[in-house]
Amino acid sequence: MSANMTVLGVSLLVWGLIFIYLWRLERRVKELERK
Amino acid sequence: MIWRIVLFLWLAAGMIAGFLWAPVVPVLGATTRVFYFHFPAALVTTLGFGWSMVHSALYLVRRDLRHDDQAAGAAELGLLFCVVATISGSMWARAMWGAYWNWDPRETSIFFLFLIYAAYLALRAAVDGDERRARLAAVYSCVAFVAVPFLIFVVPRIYFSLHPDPLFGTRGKPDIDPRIMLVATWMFAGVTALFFWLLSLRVRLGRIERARHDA
Amino acid sequence: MSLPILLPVLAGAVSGTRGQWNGVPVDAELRLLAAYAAALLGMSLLLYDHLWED
Repeated sequence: MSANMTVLGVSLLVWGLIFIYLWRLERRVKELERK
Repeated sequence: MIWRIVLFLWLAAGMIAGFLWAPVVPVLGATTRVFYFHFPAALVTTLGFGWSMVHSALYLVRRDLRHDDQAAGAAELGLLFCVVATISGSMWARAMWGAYWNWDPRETSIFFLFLIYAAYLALRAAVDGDERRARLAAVYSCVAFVAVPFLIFVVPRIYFSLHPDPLFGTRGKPDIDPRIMLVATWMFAGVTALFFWLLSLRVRLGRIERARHDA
Repeated sequence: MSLPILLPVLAGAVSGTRGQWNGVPVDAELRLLAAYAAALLGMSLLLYDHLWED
């Protein structure tokens, strides 16, 4: 059970980090498009 | 921006359901869960290459560089998801068959696919001039996509493979627990949405770069 | 450049040759090669004009 939870935790963390990166990239692209 | 938050929650929920709610396939044990990443990645690889081919054909007909932007972006992302599918597949292979790489027909096919589209990107890098590059890349993309159905659907079915049987077996119906199928479909929908978000970012960045280059 | 696209042909030809050598039926490989050749030929006919524009 705990190995399962560890892998789930890592997956969610990685997905969260990717999402934050993409969110910030989206904001930067919108900024550049406005210029 | 709200749909991006929905996407985040969608994929997070899919992962949680896959690990905590859906059962495991008896033969595969805990490694079943790789399926929720591997399967969507492999399908989105095909989607990406297909999208690239469609926009390549549209470029050849209409000669609008926006189609070339879509084709290039989709091919790059298809390649990215191809790498994800290959890595998740080889992790699965290590757990199930004892080695990361066995030159199994499915493993070999996906590697061939990777080479084909890496060559597409190499071609784009080697040609100067937007229109010439777009035209040659579009021709290559159309030819390259001929290989995709053969490599993904035909080759693994005609050669003996250690790879788990296709979901839609010889009886034509999925013979897999419905909860597993639900989570896999959920993840596929989410990863497809992610693909289109990444594609949108890639195309817009490409256009900004081109506008700056021309200015 | 075109080598990766020809890899399925290579794979089919190699396993077909090996099958023939061992006396195993090779109709699956032959069908694969024929279908792939037909698909590539058809696509090439459609794309030829776009390629030779210079």
